Amino acid sequence: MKKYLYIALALMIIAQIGVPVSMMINKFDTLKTGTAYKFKVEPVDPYDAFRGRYVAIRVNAKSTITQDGILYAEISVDKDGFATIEKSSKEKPQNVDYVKAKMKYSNLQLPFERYYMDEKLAPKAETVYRERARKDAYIKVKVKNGNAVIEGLYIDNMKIEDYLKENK
Amino acid sequence: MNKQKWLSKEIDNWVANGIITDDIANNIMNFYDKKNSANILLIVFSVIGSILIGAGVILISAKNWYNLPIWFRVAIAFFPLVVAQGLSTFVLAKKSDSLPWREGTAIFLSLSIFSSIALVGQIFHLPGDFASYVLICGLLTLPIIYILNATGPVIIYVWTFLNWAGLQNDHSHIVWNYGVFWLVGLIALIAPFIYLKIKSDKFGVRGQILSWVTAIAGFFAVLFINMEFGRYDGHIIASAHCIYFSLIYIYDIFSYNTALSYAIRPFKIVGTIGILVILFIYSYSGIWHFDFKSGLFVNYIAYMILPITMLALTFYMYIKIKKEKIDIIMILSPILLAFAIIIFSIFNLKTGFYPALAVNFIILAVGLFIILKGIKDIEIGYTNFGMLLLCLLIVLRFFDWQMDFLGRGIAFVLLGIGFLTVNLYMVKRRKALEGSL
Repeated sequence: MKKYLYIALALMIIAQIGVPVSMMINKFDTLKTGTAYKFKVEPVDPYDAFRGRYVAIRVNAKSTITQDGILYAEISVDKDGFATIEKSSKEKPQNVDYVKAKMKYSNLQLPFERYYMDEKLAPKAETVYRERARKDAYIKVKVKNGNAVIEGLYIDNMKIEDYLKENK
Repeated sequence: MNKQKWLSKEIDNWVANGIITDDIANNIMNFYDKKNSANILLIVFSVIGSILIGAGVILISAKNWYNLPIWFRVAIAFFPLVVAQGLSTFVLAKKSDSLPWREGTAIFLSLSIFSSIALVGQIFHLPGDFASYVLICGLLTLPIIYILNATGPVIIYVWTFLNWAGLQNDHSHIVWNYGVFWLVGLIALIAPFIYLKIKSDKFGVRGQILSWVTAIAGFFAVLFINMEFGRYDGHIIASAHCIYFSLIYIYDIFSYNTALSYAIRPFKIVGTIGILVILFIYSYSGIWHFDFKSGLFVNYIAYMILPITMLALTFYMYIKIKKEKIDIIMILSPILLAFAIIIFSIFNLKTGFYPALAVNFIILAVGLFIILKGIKDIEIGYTNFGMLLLCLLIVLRFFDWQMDFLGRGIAFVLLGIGFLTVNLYMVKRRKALEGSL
């Protein structure tokens, strides 16, 4: 009887470690070797009791596919150097960077929608963005093979954490 | 009255009647004192301690340590989880007989799952809605319950899937047909544990906690399963709840009848409150106006499986149990009400007065039978509860603007006659009792 309990315990430990690890797969590699893109965003500040403060970021993106389901959003860069998403496809695109995204209830859900911040800084980030006449805010995203990891949130070409430190 | 009090009262009795000596009485009391307080106190402390540490870990991890290197933050994310898993292995190997160790460790491990997954999400700014985060954590918590034979994580698991189910209904424009079956599946994963624990230890701490959790969680589960109907007609949800409360009320009689006090009968308490609240709601004539979108019963035939199963169970137990008058009325009236609601829904009836009047009479009867039972068992609290019900009924009806003055007048006269009849009956009975002495 006890033998089975140990087996169950081992399986449980594997699952409990495995789930968070699977969430991190490719993330380190993407951060290190991925291509960097800048997406213009509008930060707003909500709160998650378990995962902490974050700013919700809205990227202006369009999808050519409107049915719900998994899709691949192609990244293009405009003349100011900012990334945009205007095209999407059901198959993995060739020769162009893309991110795996989801269409849900006819909304395009990109894998970057929240930026976690210090609990005191997050509300300030939103205020600063609003007060400074909506200065260019953007996120830097590293992209590789459809995986995307947010590297930082920038206002005025400065990392938001540093910006808030300097403009107290 | 709890076990301890009952025991001490009985022991006093035995001593007074010369069955046992004072010494033996002291020995018995000491034995039970030690056994109870030491164990429960340890469990409570270990559980509260683990909750505090676990919640602290979650809060600490929710603080954003953005200036630390990323690998270090990942290590922090996994640290409490690995410690808790190590502790669980230790407990299983060396301390599996100790309830406080098992419960405390289980809670700590459950909470560290929440913090680890949250922290990984935070470090990499992962997207993801709250509902699926909570459900994933809940599912990873589930094996702890069975492996460590622990009750604490049951509360966490039940909370997670109810939370998930509730959030699924958030988008009211989505047909949530299949989600219902997922919810039933999630319940089925924990049901065996709860059932066996309650069956083997229903008056112990763990059995009691599980009974409370089950009785209350069942209310929410029925709500979420039938939420789909709410968009068409909220009454259907109420009728499902009628059947649910009737079921748990009868389940209580079926399996808790040996209880010495009402306080340790969670199903009876939740069932009684639920039945009374629904009865009071439907005692208003205004609520009996139905405007139902048709076609529902064809589309949602699958939903009928649940109420039919509950009805069958109720029926089965109804045959098996020994019933008192108050039980019969408490079990049957919500079921009748459920059928009335469904029939009114199907035919879109709008004649509110008569069914509301009938419900008022049912509440009146419930109140009276409770008072009578209280008098019979010499339970003053029970009698007062019945009185309270009647007073509430009277106050509600007096301020009921939906009923016209004539209706209210008639209802009051009838209530008054009812009251006087009971009084007369009680006086007669008391006289008869005194006469026979």
